[in-house]
Amino acid sequence: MNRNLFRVLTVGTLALTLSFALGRTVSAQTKGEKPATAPATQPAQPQTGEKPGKGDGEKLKPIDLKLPKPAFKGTPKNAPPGTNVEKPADGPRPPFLAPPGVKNVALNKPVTSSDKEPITGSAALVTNGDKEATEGSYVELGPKRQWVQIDLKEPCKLCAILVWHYHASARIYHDVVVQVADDADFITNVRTLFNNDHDNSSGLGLGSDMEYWDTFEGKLIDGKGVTARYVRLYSNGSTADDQNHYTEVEVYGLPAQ
Amino acid sequence: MTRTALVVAVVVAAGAGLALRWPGLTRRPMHGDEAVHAYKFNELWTTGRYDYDPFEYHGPTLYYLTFPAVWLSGARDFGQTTEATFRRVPIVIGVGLILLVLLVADGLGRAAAACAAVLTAFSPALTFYSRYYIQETLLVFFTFLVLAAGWRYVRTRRLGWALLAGAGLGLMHATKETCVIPMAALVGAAVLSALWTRWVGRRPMRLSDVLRPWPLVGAVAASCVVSAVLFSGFCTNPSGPWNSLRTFATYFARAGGGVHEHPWYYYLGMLLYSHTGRAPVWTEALIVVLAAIAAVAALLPAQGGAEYKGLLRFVTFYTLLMTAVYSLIPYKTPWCALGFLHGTVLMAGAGGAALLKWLTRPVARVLVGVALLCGTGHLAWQARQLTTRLEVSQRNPYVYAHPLAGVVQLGDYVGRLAAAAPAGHPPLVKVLADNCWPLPWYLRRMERVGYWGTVPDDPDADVVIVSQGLRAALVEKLRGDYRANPYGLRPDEMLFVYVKRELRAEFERQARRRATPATTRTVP
Repeated sequence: MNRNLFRVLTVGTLALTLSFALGRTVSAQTKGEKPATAPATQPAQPQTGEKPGKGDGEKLKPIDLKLPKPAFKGTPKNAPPGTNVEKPADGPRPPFLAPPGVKNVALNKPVTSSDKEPITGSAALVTNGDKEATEGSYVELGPKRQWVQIDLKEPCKLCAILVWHYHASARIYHDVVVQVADDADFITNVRTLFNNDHDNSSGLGLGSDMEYWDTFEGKLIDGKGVTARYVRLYSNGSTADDQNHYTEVEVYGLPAQ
Repeated sequence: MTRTALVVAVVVAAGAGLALRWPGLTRRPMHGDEAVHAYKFNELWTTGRYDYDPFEYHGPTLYYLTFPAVWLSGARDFGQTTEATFRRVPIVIGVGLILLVLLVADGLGRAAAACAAVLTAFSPALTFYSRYYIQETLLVFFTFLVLAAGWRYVRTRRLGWALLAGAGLGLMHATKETCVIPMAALVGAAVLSALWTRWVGRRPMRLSDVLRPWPLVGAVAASCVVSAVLFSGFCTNPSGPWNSLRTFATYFARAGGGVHEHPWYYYLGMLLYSHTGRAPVWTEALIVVLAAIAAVAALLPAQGGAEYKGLLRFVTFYTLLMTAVYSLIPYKTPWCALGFLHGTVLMAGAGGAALLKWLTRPVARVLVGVALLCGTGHLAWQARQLTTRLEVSQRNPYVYAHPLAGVVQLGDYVGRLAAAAPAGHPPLVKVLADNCWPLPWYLRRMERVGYWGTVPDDPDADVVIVSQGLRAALVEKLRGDYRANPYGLRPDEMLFVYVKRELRAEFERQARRRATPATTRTVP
């Protein structure tokens, strides 16, 4: 009995120490600008569990993310503090740490979309490496819920997904849901990595992530170390118009062997 | 072209126009103006009384014409109506506009009338706004009714046509205050046509040949009776007719522009060439070019029948006057272009027919005929695109101050919050906004909803919806614990919905229980 109690106390103390240490790290990275939802706004760092680098003692390195030119400066207009929307970052995003060898496995990979006849552009623009906020850099899908889907061509362990919808002007895309699956029809082993559909208007389940402003930095979504071949990103219009735009999606990971 | 062929062509064009206009009427969010008119209809429906407001909302014809649509829909109350219930009214009138060309076929020429019917059916702007529950299509229809009945009177000298033209004038007046522009254009066109015909000298024409005292008196009387009956709410509101005259002071002041002020070339640019980014070019230039050909044909000395020239000259002067007046008035909304666009379409029909008639070589005729067919097909394609995929897109030149789908989602969200509330305790919804239309349409089924233009002293409620401008004042006064989310109302204009934590928690509990697909799991 006493031995069990001792084990519980030991594990609890270790867990508290670890969480305190992690909390300090987060605070230091954000320089006191603590966002309301840490998981959604922090860099996707490999942790424990099924993340890449598990138990192999690999040294994590920051990935050199190539960001496009900012298309607008300052705080997005009509920024609504106090609502379920992330506060726009004051400075650059902290470095994204990942095991050596992690790269954008989505680059130039085939993309399909729910809208077979996009209003402008083509689905291929989503993974062509061009993330500038210019005409011709994005695909514009029709109104209501739409998705783009990337076939990574092989199962990959995912560290992070970086998405730019449209960053030529300030806007919030609604019902952003990111799912991965083992099959192209999203029937087998479907897992949700991000969901900010707070009212379930997209019918994919209620999300607990926060809404966010689309900026030139893109939205970094934790890949949580899951293994999948297909990545699908949903959206449902924005605060600027009803269409769904996708400028670029980068998926950082490693082939799953 | 035989008379039978003409009738078949016009009926087929009307069928095609209907097929283009009818589908997917619930897809586009209600425009603010549409929602306002739906509410005005509901007032008439529920109270049985119509009170004309000389400062807003226009005349009553739209509301009275909505009754058949509501009866046919089977809706028993406002909550059972849908967007389609209301939008079917201008669609039917818009199809009637195509059929009405039969009344002027002997004036324009049968081939010209058939062409005009096809172009009316496929004109992107006429198609697009025929799906709007606003007065503009009705005003165009009644104006054309006056023109067509007037023409039939000129041809037959029958009193009935004069009375119908007069009734049409009354209906124009009871539709929208801007009727004074087409009325003035009709009169001006008659005078200019007579002067031009006399100047050209082939067949001097006097207005006194056409205007006989008794038919004129009858037409004026019919106009006054129709207008007075409608504005008085079928004799239940005696001040209505007087207010319908008093209103012109308001509308003359409003013509100055304000937020709807645009340059003189606004309409012409919209119709001739609209292009955004990599989207297709939108243009009704074919109609304008054919109309220009018709204008040349109309103003040249007569070569065909005198009636052909007479009506075409009249329509030409009418269209030119309408275009000039609407372009010069600083106040511009895109749907106001329909008035002169329809005149342009009638001219274009004549222009197309004249072009084919002028060409004597068969090869040239075939080539031009094929080009006209392709151009007409392009118009139909544009109309289809602009009423389906691009119905609310900023790339659509006819989309103007249109609400976003966010307002539909907001209404749906509030409805589902209400469903999650304990039985017998519908949530209290407070809307604090200076202009939240069309939101009231989407909250019409809510039992307890109130609207404020400012933040009241006690703004707390189960659900509080607030505009951007009032949000800071609301946050200062709110005492409860809320969760808030933004919804797009119009481009770059948001509404924020604050939901009490308890209601939100119950909503989440119920949503999580049934919403997530069984095959999907969230990675923690």
